[in-house]
Amino acid sequence: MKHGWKSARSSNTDPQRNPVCRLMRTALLILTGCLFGGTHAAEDVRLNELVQSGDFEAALQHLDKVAADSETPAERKNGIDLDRGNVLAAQARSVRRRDVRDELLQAAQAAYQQFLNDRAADDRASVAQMKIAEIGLQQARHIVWDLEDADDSERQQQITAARKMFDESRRLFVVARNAFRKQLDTIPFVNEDEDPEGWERRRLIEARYLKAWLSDSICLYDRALTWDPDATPRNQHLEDAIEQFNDIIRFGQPAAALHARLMLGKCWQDRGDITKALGYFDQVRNQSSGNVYVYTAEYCRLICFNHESRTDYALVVNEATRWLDQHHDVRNTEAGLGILYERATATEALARQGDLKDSDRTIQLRQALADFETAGVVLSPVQHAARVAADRLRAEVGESRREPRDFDTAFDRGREITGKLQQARKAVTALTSEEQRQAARQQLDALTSEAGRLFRLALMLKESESDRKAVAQARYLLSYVYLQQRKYYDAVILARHVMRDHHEDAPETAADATEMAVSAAIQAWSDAPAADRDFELKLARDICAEVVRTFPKSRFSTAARMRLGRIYLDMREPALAAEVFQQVSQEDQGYAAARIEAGQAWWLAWAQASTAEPVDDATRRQWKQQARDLLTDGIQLQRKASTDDQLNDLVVRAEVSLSGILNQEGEFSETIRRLTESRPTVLDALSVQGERPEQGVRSAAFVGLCYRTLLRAYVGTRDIDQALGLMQKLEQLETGTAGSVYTQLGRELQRELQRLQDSGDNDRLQSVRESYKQFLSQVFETRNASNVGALLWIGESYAGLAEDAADSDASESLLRASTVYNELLQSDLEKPVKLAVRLRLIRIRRQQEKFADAVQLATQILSDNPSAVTVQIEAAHALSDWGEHGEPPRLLEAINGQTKEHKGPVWGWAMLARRLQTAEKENPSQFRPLFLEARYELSHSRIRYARQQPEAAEKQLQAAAQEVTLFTRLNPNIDPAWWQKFEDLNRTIQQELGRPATTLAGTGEATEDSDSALTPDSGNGKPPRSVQTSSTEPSLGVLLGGIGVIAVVVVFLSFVLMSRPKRKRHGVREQPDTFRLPGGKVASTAAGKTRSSPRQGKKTSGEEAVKGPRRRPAAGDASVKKKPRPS
Amino acid sequence: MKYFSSIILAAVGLSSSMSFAADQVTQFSDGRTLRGTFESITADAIEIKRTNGESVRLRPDEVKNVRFNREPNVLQRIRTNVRNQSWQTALTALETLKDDYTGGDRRVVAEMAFLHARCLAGLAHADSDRTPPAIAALEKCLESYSNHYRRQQTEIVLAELLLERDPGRAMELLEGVRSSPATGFALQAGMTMGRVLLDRGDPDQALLIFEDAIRQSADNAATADVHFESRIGQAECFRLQSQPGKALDTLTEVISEAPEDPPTIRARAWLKSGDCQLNLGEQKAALMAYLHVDVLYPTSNAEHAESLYRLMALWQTVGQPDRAQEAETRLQTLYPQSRWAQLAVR
Repeated sequence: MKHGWKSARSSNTDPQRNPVCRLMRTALLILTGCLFGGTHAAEDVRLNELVQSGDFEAALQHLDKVAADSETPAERKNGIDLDRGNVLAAQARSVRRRDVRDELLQAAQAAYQQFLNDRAADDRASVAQMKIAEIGLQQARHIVWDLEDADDSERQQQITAARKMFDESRRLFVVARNAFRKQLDTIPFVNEDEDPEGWERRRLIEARYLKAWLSDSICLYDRALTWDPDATPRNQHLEDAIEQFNDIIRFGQPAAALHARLMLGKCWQDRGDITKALGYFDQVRNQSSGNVYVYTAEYCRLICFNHESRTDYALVVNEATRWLDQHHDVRNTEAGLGILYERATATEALARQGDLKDSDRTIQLRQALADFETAGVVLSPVQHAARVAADRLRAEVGESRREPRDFDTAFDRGREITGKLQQARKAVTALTSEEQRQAARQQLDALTSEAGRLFRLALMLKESESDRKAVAQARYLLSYVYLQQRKYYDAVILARHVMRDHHEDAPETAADATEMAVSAAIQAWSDAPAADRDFELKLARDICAEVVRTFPKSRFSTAARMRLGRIYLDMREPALAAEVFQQVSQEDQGYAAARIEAGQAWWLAWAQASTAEPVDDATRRQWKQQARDLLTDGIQLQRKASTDDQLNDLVVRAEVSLSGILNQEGEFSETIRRLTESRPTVLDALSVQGERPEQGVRSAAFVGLCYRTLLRAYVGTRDIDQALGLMQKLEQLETGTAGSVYTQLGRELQRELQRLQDSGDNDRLQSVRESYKQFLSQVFETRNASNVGALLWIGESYAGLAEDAADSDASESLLRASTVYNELLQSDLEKPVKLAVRLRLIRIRRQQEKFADAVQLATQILSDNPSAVTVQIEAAHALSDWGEHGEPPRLLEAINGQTKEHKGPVWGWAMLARRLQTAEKENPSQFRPLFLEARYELSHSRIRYARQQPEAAEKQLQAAAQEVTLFTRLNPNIDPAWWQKFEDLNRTIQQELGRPATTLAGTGEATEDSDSALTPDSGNGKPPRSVQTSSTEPSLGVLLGGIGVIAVVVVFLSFVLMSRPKRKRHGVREQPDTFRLPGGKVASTAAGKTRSSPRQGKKTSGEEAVKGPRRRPAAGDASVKKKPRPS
Repeated sequence: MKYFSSIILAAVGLSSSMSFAADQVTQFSDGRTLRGTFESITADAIEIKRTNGESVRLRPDEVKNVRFNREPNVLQRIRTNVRNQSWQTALTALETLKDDYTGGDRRVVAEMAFLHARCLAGLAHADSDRTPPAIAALEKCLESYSNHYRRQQTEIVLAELLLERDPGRAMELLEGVRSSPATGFALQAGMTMGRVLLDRGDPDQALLIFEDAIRQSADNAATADVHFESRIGQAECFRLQSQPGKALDTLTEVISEAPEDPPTIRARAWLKSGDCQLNLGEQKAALMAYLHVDVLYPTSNAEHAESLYRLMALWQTVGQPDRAQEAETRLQTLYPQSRWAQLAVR
């Protein structure tokens, strides 16, 4: 037999044609029975939408309307009954009540039958037949599921009825299958590439054919189960079914084969050959993942392990628990409920095994009961059996003489079990084997659950005479149980209730409950998805505030204040946090720590104000002063109270923050004194034996921050020897990418310069700049050519200085930067670092106006790797600038690329824009800024060319006008800052064309993530730049702000991380650094994801009118609009 | 072992057969208990001749509790259970007591019949299968003891059960009680009528009734339940008038002011808070509100069943399908016959 699926298979790499995708798509077709395939409903978008959204009534009304509409084509009208049947069948699948489902199935069957009666000759008649057969099969299966309920005479009648229904369904499946076969034979084999529609049509009919075949075989299998296990007809039916399933596998369609393998496993399972069955189930599990076949295979495996020949009950409980934990969303499917049922069966079996104490046995039986009850709720093959088992177990454990009948007994029993929880928890951590640990964990879960049940029971049994203190305790302990079970909302509710309602009659418990409520709320926050936890944060804040209000003088109040302060920090409200910290009274033990926290919070508030909040200078100064005073005070109190010979972490952090403030004030000597002389010293506290931890004050990151703060002070005091010594220590700390320590140091110094420049403190600015340059010069003179990190830093620092417009020695700085970059390229650098350095060198050459060199360097890189987007952009910039400096044709190259005319590798702005447009759709956060830049520069370069070549101006300006208009029309929602730039560009074009200025049509509304892409410019004339930074491509020149910002943020980052509960569930998503270009090529963004902004070419006369938006500052940058988060 | 069992059985028997001496009545107004002998007990008043010879006459709605001379002690506990809406506990105890009681006091027999009917009615709110027997039991009480001091209260309870099945008779009963001089019951009947108006989609008219009830029931211990229930009704009117914020404020006050018992008041207030939060689009806050009923007031059966139903959907929404499943299991296991369980399987 020759089969179209195989012969027409194409091997191209389109994911749509990926074998796995295709397998799943075909599987879906087979599973759904091609719901609307072949009917006009397939094109009826409205109908599909209504069915997809579950609004079946509206879908049926829609069909009535279509049928009544005189304009509906006759062919469409002819298929209405078929569609109605499909809608009703889909509705039946969605309901859980048996009688309702049966009613709907009958209605669906009637609709299909109507179609058959009216349109027997229609092509779709076979589809209707198959649908009727499917409903018959489903109904027959329902009868079989109910057999256990029936008495003997009823049972025989029902079996007979079910067999008749199976037979009728089989007959219909065979008729349908033959019809599909005929249809299949009339369709020629086609290649997907040549005739995709024909190929799709053949695939659809093939799926129907296989569906009919599989369903027929499944009917046979189900019919077999109507006989007792050892009956001959049963075995005969199963053998026939096995043969049929093997034939289906031989047909060679992977999805059908997978289903057939699963059924083969079930056949062998029912024949009692568990080993063979397991083999098939494993095949299914190994061939695919995350679909209904695999889930069913998992379920069937567990049945096998529970089989009397295996009795691997512990294995079933373990595997079922693991599966259920990992598949919350499919627990209510047949497979999920089956797995739950098997776990209950295994748990019950384990409870009845061995020498368990009665109480432990009861606990296990209750676990089984809970699973049976859950499995008994939803309509499924195991529903009935689960209900029967639940009734049996409920009677057994409910009638136990030990079952409490009053509040006191239930409460005492609950407390008794609570006492065992600690021990059980220890057992979990003490065990080394994973299997043992899992068993211990299950034991712990069972105990916790039993304790919870008893406390709930106690609270149900409480009476008005019950001891109020005991009631409060029961609620408190239940909240503890909920906390353990990660039911944080429940724990919050109970603990808060105890706080409020038992404040008078059980004050101690009420006070204890405050901690429970706060912990539960914080955990709820921690457990919630990062993007959706404002509610939990507010909940935690409200609870802390309530504790502070209700218990103002207690120790709980101090704890709550500290928590509340941290919550405010998380809410990016450091000023509020500081106020709360400051409320801790002087008599309280935590007073000194609270002073320090308050100081840190004010310091953060100051830093935030520097970056985002419009706070007046006086307030900012006040905040900084408060930070300084509180930190000084807190440190002094802590030092005084401590008898240790080493500082604690809190003080260490505080000292480093305070030193940051002192540096800002120019009090470098005081910084040096605090960090190195004040005993015990901060530096001593940072020393470790062996490896540094990843977090905390002894981590490389924090120590690096401390060293840099101290280094800054040495630079400030011009103690160059000490500074150089410290730089060596910094190098030794280096754990990340080469040079990252230097990069950070460079950024901080640059920011300080910028901050001083912004503040207008010119004396200090001059002094800091001089000491910085002097220091840099010494480092340059004494540099070691093998020290990559140091060279990178020197290069970056000089490049940064050169960017500073106020620097009179820019060319000297550029020369030195260029020297060290060239030295770096002689070293054995890693590929990405080398690329980054070469990219830097290109920019330096541009800044030096050595455009030919810049283009040559870029060409060298692009010859090997033409997809390096950042290099392409640099090359285009270099060509543009070159064009403006006397070589106008270079501007044309910048626009159109070198490929056509010069056979060079530079794409030019036009192609860059095209490619980035595609890339941006896949990864907007990474490529959108680059795409916008390319679009902007494309038109910008035309203007520049027009100014150089008046004879071609008209043509270029017309083109630019068209580009800008079209682009903004197609992208009306671009970031407002970019919009403004395009608006300015458009105005310039219109002016140069001698037309009246017009505005662009559109809103220029910001998209949700737009403000993170760019920051509006005040008009520095620089074109937009991509701004991501990384250690391999540090961007000194683009960074603004104050050194304190980073210091505080890092300190707080460490602080908050240390004080925060462990987060679960949420992972970190990696950023892609490549993208797929049209044609399937993969491009990279040169040196990782980072580019810094080079100094632009000198402004031309008309350029003031064409101001590019300022590039987005990097993380931590003081000009970033976003508030820095402490975490 | 047998010896101990017989001692325990004897002690249990003794405790249930122990009886209380002298009639007594406790007033709602000041919580004072008057002891003596009942001279008459009718649907309009209870008259007691106190041990000091003074005669006191109280309307049934002014009475918090009644105890009969030589009644079994357990009867008082049953009354407490009924007041706290622990219907099943009370019913179980009543059934045992009915078998054991041999005192022959007609007053006690009538009291047991009313309490029994009340318990059935309470359970019927979460189990529609129990509604017909509850209605039958209430009707029988009214027929057999037509002049009983619990008559008007029973008529209200009956009317609540009849609202869906026989709204005409339900309204007739409520109108009757509403015009009675027993202010507390009249207010309660009015409040139930307010709820009917709400169900019929007339919040403006319902609000007038609730606000009237709130005014009349303020600062009166005897009508405290009516007062809180009316405020909940008022809040529901606000919600239906598209003022969920105002409704939430009212409900928050009710939750903080209402006593813990009976739990129905707070449970209902939390349910309505959840509805308001849903109106405001605050799904997590709504979930939290409904969860209060599940965690704190599971004995308030009807409200508990509704809360589980609401939670089913909300747990799913906040990405915790296992908890949704757990809520559904509990709904189907604890209240399989409730309308919420029926709705859940649709």
